[in-house]
Amino acid sequence: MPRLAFASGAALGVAGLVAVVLSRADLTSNQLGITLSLSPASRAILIAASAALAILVALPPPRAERSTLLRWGLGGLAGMTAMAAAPSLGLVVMILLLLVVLQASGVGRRSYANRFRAPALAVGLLALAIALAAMQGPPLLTRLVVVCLVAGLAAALGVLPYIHEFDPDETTAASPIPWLAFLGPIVAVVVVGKAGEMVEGAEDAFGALLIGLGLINIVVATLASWRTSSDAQAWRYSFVADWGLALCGFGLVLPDGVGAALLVLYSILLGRLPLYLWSRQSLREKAQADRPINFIVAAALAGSAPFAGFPARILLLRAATAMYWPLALVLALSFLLWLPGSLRLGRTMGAPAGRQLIGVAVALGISVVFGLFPRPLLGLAGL
Amino acid sequence: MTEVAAFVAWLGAAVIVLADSRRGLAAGLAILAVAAAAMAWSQGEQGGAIVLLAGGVLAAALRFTIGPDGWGLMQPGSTPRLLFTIIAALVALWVALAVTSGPSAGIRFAALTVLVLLGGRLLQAAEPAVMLTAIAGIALVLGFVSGDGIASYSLAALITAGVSAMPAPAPPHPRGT
Repeated sequence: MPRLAFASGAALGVAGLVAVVLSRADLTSNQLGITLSLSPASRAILIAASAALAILVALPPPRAERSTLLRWGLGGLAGMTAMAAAPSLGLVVMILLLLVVLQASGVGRRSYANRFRAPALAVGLLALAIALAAMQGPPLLTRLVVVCLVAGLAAALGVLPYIHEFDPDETTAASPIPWLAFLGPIVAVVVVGKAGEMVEGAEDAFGALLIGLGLINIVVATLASWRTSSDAQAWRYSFVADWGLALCGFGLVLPDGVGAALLVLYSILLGRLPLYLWSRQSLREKAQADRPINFIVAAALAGSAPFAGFPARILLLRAATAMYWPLALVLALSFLLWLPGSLRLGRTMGAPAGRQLIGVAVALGISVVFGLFPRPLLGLAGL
Repeated sequence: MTEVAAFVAWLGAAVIVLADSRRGLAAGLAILAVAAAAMAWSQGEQGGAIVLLAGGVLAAALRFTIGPDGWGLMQPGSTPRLLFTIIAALVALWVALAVTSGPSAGIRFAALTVLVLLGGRLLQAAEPAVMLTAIAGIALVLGFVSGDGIASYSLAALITAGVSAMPAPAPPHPRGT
């Protein structure tokens, strides 16, 4: 019976993925009485998230059950698809609320309040932004909407200044990692995509706030990833640092900036997340190694050529140069901060063998393909 | 009608802020549901109002059965929360009447005061029943501010009831992947 349930779940998941892949972006449907449509960027992120789940279910990390991965992953994907197709931010926030409650209901090592509070705050802040955006008033009101939107997004993702409490020994599904690495990308794409009308007249403030928050996250999280005492914490901060890049990209608004943000999100979903999960066993055993594979992983995590992070950084620099060149200088210097943390994370992979080695090779292979041929990926997202 | 409903919404949120046990929380949620339904009705969304009321009342009934026993209203040490309910209402009233404009000051006041009160409750509480009731209240507000017609009312009602049906969370778990 468990095998039948697993097979049914897997078949439904594959069918859902096929439906998303075959769907046409920006096509609207009114069949359910509400207008549903999938933007190209949301569709691209959904495909990447589905691919990440497929890789993890095919090559599960040690001590992780395929059925558990599939159950949590498909639940998350269902919510992500609903958020991507929802016509308004109000409906998106309601679906987000449901995901917050469902994730907190799982079994975790942190107290319920600690698991629930930060993502629930995100729901409250985004709801406040929607309520304020519906009112008419002075320009300051739109600025308040901008602050609530950006703060809500940061709280949902678990980036600075609303970093979620993290317990290295907690199961990944109950930890803040799904917000940073699985649900987060679609939340960011949808919130930023739907914010346009709400921040009319304050677009510059919205972009500036995203860039400022992004820079703070890059600097603090890269340093924390290098200096923190716990290796698992270092991995968590590395996700936050990548989010800093993505937020800067979204804030730059230009197509190159948005493209950079999407490439970073692809590399989180298909690179950093699987690598983190495959490193969990060696993290527990505190097994570190300095083999060539560890340095290749470090290079991929640091965003060096020919991996996916490299074209993302190039696009980001190009967009920053076009907008305000000193920002490009700051970003270029901040990219160096990735090196020490990434070398540390590479070592924590230990000496991958068997299924773990295949998984690491697949993630690195995907990253190289994305790094060498980013254009098809950007085209998939409508850029 | 909207002004009365707005005051009732504040009352419902204030009860949720001041309650620590299931009966008090259920009462607050029921009051808030009535107010949300009245506001939807006043906007000409009769169907939405009925759906919202049904979802809210079901949620209140479920909350009445799940959570710490008793009413738990205004227990010792709740003075700061009482002050919070009054100050939040006054600030929301000022914003709704003097700072902002638009078709209905009542709805603006209700949305602001309920979101601020329940957001504050979420940050302050540690008991799962309290946190779930606060988030259910936020879902009710989202129902009437998101402006997607019957879809948003229905989803809000479903989520409010669903969240209130969540059982007590499982105890912490040992290490795992």
